[in-house]
Amino acid sequence: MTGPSSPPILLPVVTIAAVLLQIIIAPHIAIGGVVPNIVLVAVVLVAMRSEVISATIVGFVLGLVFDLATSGPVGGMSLVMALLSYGVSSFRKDIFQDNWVMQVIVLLLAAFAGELLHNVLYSIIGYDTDFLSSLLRRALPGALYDSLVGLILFPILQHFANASRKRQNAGLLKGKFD
Amino acid sequence: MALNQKKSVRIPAGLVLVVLCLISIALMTIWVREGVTGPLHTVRSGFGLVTAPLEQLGAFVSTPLRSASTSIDNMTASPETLDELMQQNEELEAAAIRLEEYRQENERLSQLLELREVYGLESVGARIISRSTDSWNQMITINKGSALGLAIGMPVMSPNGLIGQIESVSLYSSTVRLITDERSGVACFLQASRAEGIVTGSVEGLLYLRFIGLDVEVKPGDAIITSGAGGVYPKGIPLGEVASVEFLSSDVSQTIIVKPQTRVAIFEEVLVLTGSESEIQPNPDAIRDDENRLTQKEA
Repeated sequence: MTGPSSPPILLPVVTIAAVLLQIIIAPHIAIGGVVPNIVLVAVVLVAMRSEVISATIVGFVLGLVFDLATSGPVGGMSLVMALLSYGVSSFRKDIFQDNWVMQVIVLLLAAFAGELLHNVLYSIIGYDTDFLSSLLRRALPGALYDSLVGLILFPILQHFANASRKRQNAGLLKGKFD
Repeated sequence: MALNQKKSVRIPAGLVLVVLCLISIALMTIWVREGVTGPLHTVRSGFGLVTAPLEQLGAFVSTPLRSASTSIDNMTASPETLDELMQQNEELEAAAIRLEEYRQENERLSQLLELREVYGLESVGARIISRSTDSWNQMITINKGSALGLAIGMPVMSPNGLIGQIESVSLYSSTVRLITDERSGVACFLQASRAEGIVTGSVEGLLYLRFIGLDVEVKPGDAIITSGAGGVYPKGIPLGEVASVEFLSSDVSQTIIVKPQTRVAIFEEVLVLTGSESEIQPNPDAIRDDENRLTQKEA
Protein backbone atom coordinates (compact mmCIF):
# COMPACT_ATOMS: atom_id res chain seq x y z
CA MET A 1 0.00 0.00 0.00
CA THR A 2 1.10 3.49 -0.68
CA GLY A 3 0.67 6.69 1.29
CA PRO A 4 -0.95 6.15 4.65
CA SER A 5 -1.52 2.46 4.00
CA SER A 6 -2.04 0.12 6.95
CA PRO A 7 0.59 -2.46 7.78
CA PRO A 8 -0.69 -6.06 7.53
CA ILE A 9 -1.06 -6.63 11.24
CA LEU A 10 -3.40 -3.66 11.70
CA LEU A 11 -6.28 -4.84 9.55
CA PRO A 12 -7.39 -7.81 11.67
CA VAL A 13 -6.66 -5.87 14.87
CA VAL A 14 -8.75 -2.89 13.76
CA THR A 15 -11.67 -4.98 12.54
CA ILE A 16 -11.85 -7.22 15.61
CA ALA A 17 -11.40 -4.25 17.96
CA ALA A 18 -14.16 -2.33 16.18
CA VAL A 19 -16.65 -5.18 16.52
CA LEU A 20 -15.77 -5.71 20.18
CA LEU A 21 -16.03 -2.00 20.95
CA GLN A 22 -19.39 -1.84 19.18
CA ILE A 23 -20.80 -4.68 21.26
CA ILE A 24 -19.16 -3.92 24.60
CA ILE A 25 -18.74 -0.16 24.81
CA ALA A 26 -21.01 1.57 22.27
CA PRO A 27 -24.35 0.81 24.02
CA HIS A 28 -23.05 2.44 27.19
CA ILE A 29 -21.81 5.67 25.63
CA ALA A 30 -25.03 6.48 23.75
CA ILE A 31 -26.09 10.11 23.97
CA GLY A 32 -29.81 10.78 23.70
CA GLY A 33 -30.40 7.39 22.09
CA VAL A 34 -27.68 7.95 19.49
CA VAL A 35 -25.21 5.07 19.58
CA PRO A 36 -21.85 5.65 17.87
CA ASN A 37 -21.22 3.35 14.93
CA ILE A 38 -17.64 2.34 15.71
CA VAL A 39 -17.69 -0.32 13.00
CA LEU A 40 -18.49 2.33 10.40
CA VAL A 41 -15.61 4.47 11.66
CA ALA A 42 -13.29 1.47 11.34
CA VAL A 43 -14.55 0.72 7.83
CA VAL A 44 -13.88 4.29 6.68
CA LEU A 45 -10.53 4.24 8.40
CA VAL A 46 -9.50 1.04 6.65
CA ALA A 47 -10.87 2.27 3.33
CA MET A 48 -8.70 5.41 3.53
CA ARG A 49 -5.65 3.19 3.75
CA SER A 50 -6.49 0.22 1.53
CA GLU A 51 -6.86 -0.83 -2.06
CA VAL A 52 -10.40 -0.67 -3.44
CA ILE A 53 -11.11 -4.41 -3.63
CA SER A 54 -9.83 -5.31 -0.16
CA ALA A 55 -11.54 -2.26 1.36
CA THR A 56 -14.87 -3.18 -0.26
CA ILE A 57 -14.64 -6.77 1.00
CA VAL A 58 -13.68 -5.62 4.52
CA GLY A 59 -16.63 -3.18 4.47
CA PHE A 60 -19.03 -5.91 3.41
CA VAL A 61 -17.80 -8.40 6.02
CA LEU A 62 -17.80 -5.88 8.87
CA GLY A 63 -21.26 -4.69 7.82
CA LEU A 64 -22.52 -8.25 7.93
CA VAL A 65 -21.07 -8.75 11.40
CA PHE A 66 -22.70 -5.47 12.46
CA ASP A 67 -26.03 -6.69 11.08
CA LEU A 68 -25.78 -9.92 13.04
CA ALA A 69 -24.78 -8.13 16.24
CA THR A 70 -27.56 -5.54 16.08
CA SER A 71 -31.30 -5.68 15.44
CA GLY A 72 -31.66 -4.33 11.92
CA PRO A 73 -32.31 -6.37 8.79
CA VAL A 74 -29.41 -8.66 7.88
CA GLY A 75 -27.77 -7.39 4.71
CA GLY A 76 -28.63 -3.72 5.27
CA MET A 77 -25.43 -2.49 6.85
CA SER A 78 -23.28 -4.83 4.74
CA LEU A 79 -24.68 -3.13 1.63
CA VAL A 80 -24.14 0.34 3.10
CA MET A 81 -20.61 -0.36 4.26
CA ALA A 82 -19.55 -2.07 1.02
CA LEU A 83 -20.68 1.03 -0.90
CA LEU A 84 -18.97 3.38 1.57
CA SER A 85 -15.71 1.43 1.48
CA TYR A 86 -15.74 1.41 -2.29
CA GLY A 87 -16.39 5.15 -2.40
CA VAL A 88 -13.78 6.16 0.17
CA SER A 89 -11.06 3.79 -1.06
CA SER A 90 -11.50 5.12 -4.61
CA PHE A 91 -10.04 8.47 -3.48
CA ARG A 92 -6.36 9.08 -4.09
CA LYS A 93 -4.65 7.88 -0.91
CA ASP A 94 -2.17 10.74 -0.74
CA ILE A 95 -4.91 13.27 0.00
CA PHE A 96 -5.38 11.62 3.41
CA GLN A 97 -1.71 11.39 4.35
CA ASP A 98 -1.11 13.35 7.54
CA ASN A 99 -4.12 15.48 6.75
CA TRP A 100 -6.37 15.23 9.76
CA VAL A 101 -8.86 17.75 8.51
CA MET A 102 -9.40 15.84 5.27
CA GLN A 103 -9.72 12.53 7.13
CA VAL A 104 -12.33 13.92 9.50
CA ILE A 105 -14.26 15.62 6.70
CA VAL A 106 -14.35 12.41 4.70
CA LEU A 107 -15.39 10.45 7.80
CA LEU A 108 -18.18 12.95 8.54
CA LEU A 109 -19.46 12.81 4.96
CA ALA A 110 -19.15 9.02 4.80
CA ALA A 111 -20.89 8.58 8.15
CA PHE A 112 -23.75 10.85 7.10
CA ALA A 113 -24.03 9.10 3.73
CA GLY A 114 -24.04 5.74 5.49
CA GLU A 115 -26.74 6.74 7.99
CA LEU A 116 -28.79 8.32 5.20
CA LEU A 117 -28.55 5.23 3.02
CA HIS A 118 -29.49 3.04 5.96
CA ASN A 119 -32.52 5.24 6.52
CA VAL A 120 -33.51 4.91 2.88
CA LEU A 121 -33.14 1.11 3.06
CA TYR A 122 -35.42 0.98 6.10
CA SER A 123 -38.05 2.90 4.16
CA ILE A 124 -37.67 0.67 1.08
CA ILE A 125 -38.08 -2.59 2.98
CA GLY A 126 -41.23 -1.28 4.60
CA TYR A 127 -40.12 -0.43 8.12
CA ASP A 128 -42.43 2.34 9.30
CA THR A 129 -40.06 5.21 9.77
CA ASP A 130 -40.61 8.92 9.79
CA PHE A 131 -37.90 9.71 7.23
CA LEU A 132 -37.32 13.35 8.08
CA SER A 133 -37.43 12.76 11.80
CA SER A 134 -34.99 9.83 11.48
CA LEU A 135 -32.71 12.01 9.42
CA LEU A 136 -32.64 14.82 11.94
CA ARG A 137 -32.66 12.75 15.10
CA ARG A 138 -30.50 9.80 14.08
CA ALA A 139 -28.57 10.21 10.84
CA LEU A 140 -27.18 13.69 11.49
CA PRO A 141 -26.33 13.32 15.19
CA GLY A 142 -25.07 9.80 14.46
CA ALA A 143 -22.69 11.09 11.79
CA LEU A 144 -21.41 13.80 14.14
CA TYR A 145 -20.89 11.31 16.94
CA ASP A 146 -19.10 8.90 14.58
CA SER A 147 -16.77 11.71 13.51
CA LEU A 148 -16.02 12.47 17.15
CA VAL A 149 -15.17 8.82 17.74
CA GLY A 150 -13.02 8.96 14.61
CA LEU A 151 -11.15 11.97 16.00
CA ILE A 152 -10.22 9.88 19.03
CA LEU A 153 -9.41 6.72 17.10
CA PHE A 154 -7.43 8.23 14.20
CA PRO A 155 -4.36 9.34 16.20
CA ILE A 156 -4.29 6.05 18.13
CA LEU A 157 -4.39 4.04 14.96
CA GLN A 158 -1.87 6.31 13.25
CA HIS A 159 0.51 5.80 16.16
CA PHE A 160 0.27 2.02 15.89
CA ALA A 161 0.49 2.15 12.11
CA ASN A 162 3.68 4.21 12.27
CA ALA A 163 5.21 1.94 14.89
CA SER A 164 4.29 -1.12 12.89
CA ARG A 165 5.65 0.37 9.68
CA LYS A 166 8.96 1.16 11.37
CA ARG A 167 9.23 -2.44 12.53
CA GLN A 168 8.42 -3.57 9.01
CA ASN A 169 11.09 -1.36 7.54
CA ALA A 170 13.58 -2.74 10.02
CA GLY A 171 12.84 -6.17 8.67
CA LEU A 172 11.08 -7.46 11.77
CA LEU A 173 7.78 -7.93 10.02
CA LYS A 174 7.16 -9.31 6.59
CA GLY A 175 4.17 -9.59 4.31
CA LYS A 176 1.86 -7.46 2.37
CA PHE A 177 -1.39 -5.85 3.40
CA ASP A 178 -3.46 -6.79 0.42
CA MET B 1 6.04 -18.29 -24.47
CA ALA B 2 7.75 -19.42 -21.32
CA LEU B 3 5.94 -22.20 -19.48
CA ASN B 4 6.27 -20.56 -16.07
CA GLN B 5 4.93 -17.22 -17.24
CA LYS B 6 1.63 -16.51 -15.52
CA LYS B 7 -1.01 -14.27 -16.89
CA SER B 8 -2.44 -12.32 -13.94
CA VAL B 9 -6.16 -11.74 -14.09
CA ARG B 10 -7.20 -8.58 -12.32
CA ILE B 11 -10.79 -8.55 -11.14
CA PRO B 12 -12.38 -5.12 -11.58
CA ALA B 13 -13.25 -3.50 -8.24
CA GLY B 14 -16.63 -2.46 -9.64
CA LEU B 15 -17.51 -6.08 -10.28
CA VAL B 16 -16.62 -7.01 -6.70
CA LEU B 17 -18.85 -4.20 -5.45
CA VAL B 18 -21.76 -5.28 -7.64
CA VAL B 19 -21.48 -8.90 -6.46
CA LEU B 20 -21.33 -7.87 -2.79
CA CYS B 21 -24.29 -5.51 -3.22
CA LEU B 22 -26.31 -8.29 -4.83
CA ILE B 23 -25.46 -10.64 -1.97
CA SER B 24 -26.53 -7.96 0.53
CA ILE B 25 -29.81 -7.34 -1.28
CA ALA B 26 -30.47 -11.09 -1.45
CA LEU B 27 -29.80 -11.42 2.28
CA MET B 28 -32.12 -8.50 3.03
CA THR B 29 -34.87 -9.97 0.88
CA ILE B 30 -34.57 -13.34 2.59
CA TRP B 31 -34.54 -11.63 6.00
CA VAL B 32 -37.72 -9.69 5.31
CA ARG B 33 -39.57 -12.62 3.73
CA GLU B 34 -38.56 -15.47 6.03
CA GLY B 35 -40.27 -16.08 9.34
CA VAL B 36 -38.71 -15.76 12.77
CA THR B 37 -37.56 -19.38 12.50
CA GLY B 38 -35.89 -18.82 9.13
CA PRO B 39 -32.20 -19.54 8.53
CA LEU B 40 -30.97 -15.95 8.86
CA HIS B 41 -32.92 -15.39 12.07
CA THR B 42 -31.46 -18.64 13.39
CA VAL B 43 -27.95 -17.51 12.49
CA ARG B 44 -28.54 -14.25 14.34
CA SER B 45 -29.77 -16.16 17.39
CA GLY B 46 -26.60 -18.24 17.24
CA PHE B 47 -24.58 -15.06 17.00
CA GLY B 48 -26.41 -13.84 20.10
CA LEU B 49 -25.01 -16.81 21.96
CA VAL B 50 -21.52 -15.48 21.25
CA THR B 51 -22.24 -11.81 21.88
CA ALA B 52 -24.22 -12.24 25.13
CA PRO B 53 -21.11 -12.77 27.31
CA LEU B 54 -19.49 -9.77 25.62
CA GLU B 55 -22.56 -7.64 26.35
CA GLN B 56 -22.44 -8.81 29.95
CA LEU B 57 -18.81 -7.72 30.01
CA GLY B 58 -19.94 -4.35 28.65
CA ALA B 59 -22.38 -3.89 31.53
CA PHE B 60 -19.50 -4.60 33.91
CA VAL B 61 -17.10 -2.29 32.12
CA SER B 62 -19.58 0.58 31.91
CA THR B 63 -19.70 1.03 35.70
CA PRO B 64 -16.24 2.65 35.91
CA LEU B 65 -17.05 4.69 32.80
CA ARG B 66 -20.05 6.18 34.58
CA SER B 67 -18.03 7.02 37.65
CA ALA B 68 -15.15 8.51 35.65
CA SER B 69 -16.47 12.04 36.02
CA THR B 70 -16.65 11.64 39.81
CA SER B 71 -13.03 10.50 39.85
CA ILE B 72 -11.97 13.55 37.85
CA ASP B 73 -13.70 15.80 40.38
CA ASN B 74 -11.83 14.12 43.23
CA MET B 75 -8.49 14.71 41.54
CA THR B 76 -8.90 18.46 41.93
CA ALA B 77 -9.09 18.34 45.76
CA SER B 78 -6.13 19.08 48.05
CA PRO B 79 -3.87 15.98 48.15
CA GLU B 80 -3.33 16.01 51.95
CA THR B 81 -6.98 16.32 52.79
CA LEU B 82 -7.96 13.84 50.17
CA ASP B 83 -5.44 11.22 51.32
CA GLU B 84 -6.49 11.45 54.95
CA LEU B 85 -10.20 11.43 54.32
CA MET B 86 -10.09 8.80 51.64
CA GLN B 87 -8.08 6.44 53.81
CA GLN B 88 -10.54 6.78 56.67
CA ASN B 89 -13.65 6.53 54.58
CA GLU B 90 -12.66 4.09 51.89
CA GLU B 91 -13.77 0.95 53.66
CA LEU B 92 -16.91 2.52 55.08
CA GLU B 93 -17.92 3.92 51.71
CA ALA B 94 -17.38 0.60 50.00
CA ALA B 95 -19.44 -1.17 52.64
CA ALA B 96 -22.18 1.45 52.40
CA ILE B 97 -22.28 1.17 48.62
CA ARG B 98 -22.50 -2.62 48.81
CA LEU B 99 -25.30 -2.45 51.39
CA GLU B 100 -27.18 0.18 49.39
CA GLU B 101 -26.80 -1.96 46.28
CA TYR B 102 -28.22 -4.99 48.11
CA ARG B 103 -31.06 -2.89 49.54
CA GLN B 104 -32.00 -1.48 46.14
CA GLU B 105 -31.79 -4.86 44.45
CA ASN B 106 -33.92 -6.39 47.20
CA GLU B 107 -36.47 -3.61 46.77
CA ARG B 108 -36.61 -4.05 43.00
CA LEU B 109 -36.92 -7.82 43.20
CA SER B 110 -39.66 -7.50 45.84
CA GLN B 111 -41.56 -5.18 43.50
CA LEU B 112 -41.24 -7.69 40.70
CA LEU B 113 -42.50 -10.48 42.96
CA GLU B 114 -45.44 -8.32 44.05
CA LEU B 115 -46.25 -7.63 40.42
CA ARG B 116 -46.22 -11.33 39.63
CA GLU B 117 -48.67 -11.97 42.47
CA VAL B 118 -50.97 -9.07 41.60
CA TYR B 119 -51.47 -10.14 38.00
CA GLY B 120 -51.33 -13.89 38.57
CA LEU B 121 -48.61 -14.10 35.99
CA GLU B 122 -46.24 -16.89 35.26
CA SER B 123 -42.96 -15.20 34.69
CA VAL B 124 -39.20 -15.36 34.68
CA GLY B 125 -37.04 -12.64 36.21
CA ALA B 126 -34.11 -11.44 34.12
CA ARG B 127 -31.33 -8.89 34.28
CA ILE B 128 -30.69 -6.29 31.58
CA ILE B 129 -27.17 -6.90 30.27
CA SER B 130 -27.08 -4.48 27.36
CA ARG B 131 -28.87 -1.66 25.56
CA SER B 132 -29.15 -0.98 21.83
CA THR B 133 -25.94 -1.49 19.90
CA ASP B 134 -27.18 0.84 17.13
CA SER B 135 -29.22 4.04 16.91
CA TRP B 136 -31.95 2.60 14.74
CA ASN B 137 -33.56 0.21 17.18
CA GLN B 138 -34.58 0.71 20.79
CA MET B 139 -33.74 -2.63 22.31
CA ILE B 140 -32.41 -4.22 25.46
CA THR B 141 -30.71 -7.57 25.91
CA ILE B 142 -31.59 -9.70 28.92
CA ASN B 143 -29.62 -12.58 30.42
CA LYS B 144 -32.29 -15.30 30.03
CA GLY B 145 -33.10 -17.22 26.88
CA SER B 146 -34.75 -20.28 25.44
CA ALA B 147 -33.00 -22.48 28.03
CA LEU B 148 -35.51 -21.11 30.55
CA GLY B 149 -38.51 -21.32 28.24
CA LEU B 150 -38.40 -17.78 26.86
CA ALA B 151 -39.79 -17.41 23.35
CA ILE B 152 -40.27 -14.75 20.71
CA GLY B 153 -43.28 -12.53 21.34
CA MET B 154 -43.37 -12.81 25.13
CA PRO B 155 -44.14 -9.51 26.90
CA VAL B 156 -41.54 -7.96 29.20
CA MET B 157 -42.36 -5.80 32.22
CA SER B 158 -40.64 -3.67 34.81
CA PRO B 159 -42.11 -3.30 38.31
CA ASN B 160 -44.11 -0.30 37.05
CA GLY B 161 -45.48 -1.51 33.78
CA LEU B 162 -44.97 -2.88 30.31
CA ILE B 163 -41.65 -2.19 28.59
CA GLY B 164 -41.60 -4.36 25.47
CA GLN B 165 -41.69 -7.71 23.77
CA ILE B 166 -39.07 -10.37 23.06
CA GLU B 167 -37.94 -10.18 19.46
CA SER B 168 -35.21 -12.79 19.32
CA VAL B 169 -33.95 -15.48 21.66
CA SER B 170 -30.77 -17.45 21.93
CA LEU B 171 -30.08 -20.14 24.49
CA TYR B 172 -28.95 -17.82 27.29
CA SER B 173 -30.06 -14.35 26.23
CA SER B 174 -32.97 -12.57 24.57
CA THR B 175 -33.43 -9.27 22.77
CA VAL B 176 -36.41 -7.15 23.70
CA ARG B 177 -37.90 -4.47 21.45
CA LEU B 178 -39.05 -1.62 23.68
CA ILE B 179 -42.50 -0.08 23.36
CA THR B 180 -40.80 3.25 22.65
CA ASP B 181 -39.33 1.83 19.41
CA GLU B 182 -41.14 3.18 16.37
CA ARG B 183 -41.91 -0.34 15.15
CA SER B 184 -43.68 -1.32 18.38
CA GLY B 185 -47.44 -1.28 18.78
CA VAL B 186 -49.54 -2.17 21.82
CA ALA B 187 -53.34 -2.49 21.89
CA CYS B 188 -54.49 -0.32 24.79
CA PHE B 189 -57.46 1.53 26.20
CA LEU B 190 -58.00 4.63 28.25
CA GLN B 191 -58.97 3.51 31.71
CA ALA B 192 -61.52 6.29 32.22
CA SER B 193 -63.43 6.08 28.93
CA ARG B 194 -62.52 2.49 27.90
CA ALA B 195 -61.83 3.85 24.39
CA GLU B 196 -59.49 1.52 22.51
CA GLY B 197 -56.43 2.52 20.52
CA ILE B 198 -52.88 1.55 19.67
CA VAL B 199 -49.85 2.89 21.50
CA THR B 200 -46.89 3.23 19.17
CA GLY B 201 -43.30 4.33 19.69
CA SER B 202 -41.49 6.98 17.69
CA VAL B 203 -38.05 8.10 16.57
CA GLU B 204 -37.91 10.73 19.30
CA GLY B 205 -38.64 8.09 21.96
CA LEU B 206 -42.14 9.36 22.76
CA LEU B 207 -45.22 7.16 22.92
CA TYR B 208 -48.35 8.03 20.95
CA LEU B 209 -51.86 6.68 21.50
CA ARG B 210 -53.59 6.63 18.13
CA PHE B 211 -57.05 5.87 16.75
CA ILE B 212 -58.97 7.48 19.62
CA GLY B 213 -62.03 9.17 18.11
CA LEU B 214 -62.69 12.89 18.40
CA ASP B 215 -65.84 12.22 20.42
CA VAL B 216 -63.88 10.66 23.28
CA GLU B 217 -63.02 13.01 26.12
CA VAL B 218 -59.35 12.68 27.00
CA LYS B 219 -57.67 14.51 29.86
CA PRO B 220 -53.98 14.74 30.77
CA GLY B 221 -53.26 12.24 33.52
CA ASP B 222 -55.75 9.61 32.27
CA ALA B 223 -54.29 6.15 32.76
CA ILE B 224 -53.58 3.96 29.73
CA ILE B 225 -53.56 0.19 30.15
CA THR B 226 -53.21 -2.78 27.84
CA SER B 227 -56.49 -4.04 26.41
CA GLY B 228 -55.39 -7.62 25.79
CA ALA B 229 -56.68 -7.42 22.21
CA GLY B 230 -54.61 -9.49 19.81
CA GLY B 231 -53.43 -11.83 22.53
CA VAL B 232 -49.91 -10.47 22.63
CA TYR B 233 -50.07 -8.63 25.94
CA PRO B 234 -52.30 -9.58 28.87
CA LYS B 235 -55.09 -7.19 29.74
CA GLY B 236 -54.72 -4.57 32.45
CA ILE B 237 -50.99 -3.88 32.51
CA PRO B 238 -50.26 -0.19 33.06
CA LEU B 239 -48.42 1.45 30.21
CA GLY B 240 -48.50 5.15 30.98
CA GLU B 241 -50.69 8.19 31.27
CA VAL B 242 -51.87 10.91 28.92
CA ALA B 243 -49.34 13.74 28.76
CA SER B 244 -51.07 15.88 26.14
CA VAL B 245 -53.66 15.71 23.36
CA GLU B 246 -53.29 17.08 19.84
CA PHE B 247 -55.70 17.16 16.91
CA LEU B 248 -56.65 19.32 13.99
CA SER B 249 -60.18 19.97 12.84
CA SER B 250 -59.45 17.88 9.75
CA ASP B 251 -58.30 14.86 11.78
CA VAL B 252 -60.51 11.83 12.24
CA SER B 253 -58.86 10.85 15.49
CA GLN B 254 -56.89 12.39 18.32
CA THR B 255 -53.14 12.09 18.67
CA ILE B 256 -52.36 11.52 22.30
CA ILE B 257 -48.84 11.81 23.67
CA VAL B 258 -48.27 9.26 26.40
CA LYS B 259 -45.95 9.57 29.34
CA PRO B 260 -44.56 6.05 29.84
CA GLN B 261 -45.08 4.38 33.19
CA THR B 262 -41.54 3.05 33.06
CA ARG B 263 -38.24 4.63 32.16
CA VAL B 264 -36.23 1.65 31.02
CA ALA B 265 -32.95 3.48 31.56
CA ILE B 266 -33.32 3.26 35.32
CA PHE B 267 -34.12 -0.45 35.55
CA GLU B 268 -31.72 -3.33 35.78
CA GLU B 269 -34.15 -6.24 36.26
CA VAL B 270 -37.30 -7.16 34.36
CA LEU B 271 -39.99 -9.82 34.32
CA VAL B 272 -40.71 -11.85 31.21
CA LEU B 273 -44.31 -13.05 31.14
CA THR B 274 -44.23 -16.67 30.09
CA GLY B 275 -47.94 -17.25 30.73
CA SER B 276 -50.95 -15.93 32.64
CA GLU B 277 -54.53 -16.68 33.48
CA SER B 278 -55.43 -15.21 30.12
CA GLU B 279 -53.04 -17.58 28.33
CA ILE B 280 -50.50 -15.34 26.63
CA GLN B 281 -49.95 -16.57 23.13
CA PRO B 282 -47.17 -14.84 21.24
CA ASN B 283 -48.64 -13.48 18.04
CA PRO B 284 -46.56 -10.70 16.51
CA ASP B 285 -49.01 -10.07 13.67
CA ALA B 286 -52.02 -9.63 15.89
CA ILE B 287 -51.33 -5.99 16.68
CA ARG B 288 -51.19 -5.18 12.99
CA ASP B 289 -54.57 -6.87 12.51
CA ASP B 290 -55.98 -4.81 15.36
CA GLU B 291 -54.58 -1.67 13.83
CA ASN B 292 -56.23 -2.48 10.51
CA ARG B 293 -59.51 -3.24 12.26
CA LEU B 294 -59.41 0.11 14.06
CA THR B 295 -58.49 1.95 10.86
CA GLN B 296 -61.48 0.41 9.13
CA LYS B 297 -63.64 1.35 12.09
CA GLU B 298 -62.42 4.96 11.89
CA ALA B 299 -63.07 5.05 8.15
